[in-house]
Amino acid sequence: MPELTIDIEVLRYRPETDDEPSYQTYTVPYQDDWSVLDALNHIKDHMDGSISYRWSCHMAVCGSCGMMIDDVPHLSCKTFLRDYYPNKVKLDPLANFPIERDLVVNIEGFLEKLESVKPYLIHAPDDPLNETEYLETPAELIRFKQYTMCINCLLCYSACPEFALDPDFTGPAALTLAHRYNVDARDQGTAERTRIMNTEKGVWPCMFVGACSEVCPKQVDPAAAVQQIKVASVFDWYKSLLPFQDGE
Amino acid sequence: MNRKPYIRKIPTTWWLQNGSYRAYMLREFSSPFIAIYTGVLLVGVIRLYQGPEAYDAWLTALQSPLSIGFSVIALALALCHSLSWLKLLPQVMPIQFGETKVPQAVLVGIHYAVFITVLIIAIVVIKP
Repeated sequence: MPELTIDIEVLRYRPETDDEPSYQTYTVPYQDDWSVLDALNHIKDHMDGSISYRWSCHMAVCGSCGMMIDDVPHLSCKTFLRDYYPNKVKLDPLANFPIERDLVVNIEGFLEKLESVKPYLIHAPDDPLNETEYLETPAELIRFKQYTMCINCLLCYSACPEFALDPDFTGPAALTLAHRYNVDARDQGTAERTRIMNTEKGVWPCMFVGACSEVCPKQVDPAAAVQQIKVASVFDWYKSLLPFQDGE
Repeated sequence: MNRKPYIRKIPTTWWLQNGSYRAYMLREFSSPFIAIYTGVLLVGVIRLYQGPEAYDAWLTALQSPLSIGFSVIALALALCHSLSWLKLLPQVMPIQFGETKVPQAVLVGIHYAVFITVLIIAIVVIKP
């Protein structure tokens, strides 16, 4: 029986020679238990060692192998050829990010945004860390547990039209992680983060398209987190109008 | 080696690319129609204040084919707008009792029930 094959169309961009990207098609063996990442690894190992893409864990944990598969953001390690066969599979780098090389995008902007929202537990300077226990009850954990599942794969940024139109928008994943710490009972950094999230590049450019949540491979639901920050921000603003503020 | 990141252009038709974008644009597109219909209702209140003749003239104007056509479109878009927000509501206002989150389907279901009840009351109570 002749070997079954499937065409993989990959957007290639080699900055040292190319002025703009172009597609290159590879015909690879078809196996119904192969993910798109398996097909790429086959190309890299047996057909064209020059092709560049990111991957690491092959089990939807590291968040490295996100790409546009037939124009939809997916993790290539958990997207299977059998869902496309016998049609060809078109691979593009994650949308809305500058292309560094082939399927590799530049994520420096995201890393800066992630750092800017202070995604870690913050304690007040005068808080006696060594004298107090910081307990988190199961009920308190449930408030933010889903947001801890984010693997920073950036599929949500590729689905977000606001980020597409304004690359300075803080974006779904960074805002979700900010919210994750804001609702953590052990954290005292909400005021610091609110200042960042209430800027014109914070939560308010979000138009609640909801596409970020649809493509999230870990069911984090970033759109929910961003809307909940908006609600909290509104309460915060009304609170600021009160004559007597906290600490006065 | 020098880096030369390539930035892809966003097509002006980006909002046609997938179902989520189209649904979002439809929700936004409905807003002017709802705003205009609200204006029509406000005019009705002003006409009511001006007296029975003015109010009757406003009612007659509403019966013109143009007005009926606009109302049908505005009603369809208002329904579309409202239902899209009911769908999104559990994401904005999640409710949790102790260690249990209320399922999103339950929250949406309750809002549908209230929506339909209010609609029925409005139709029964506000008769022409």
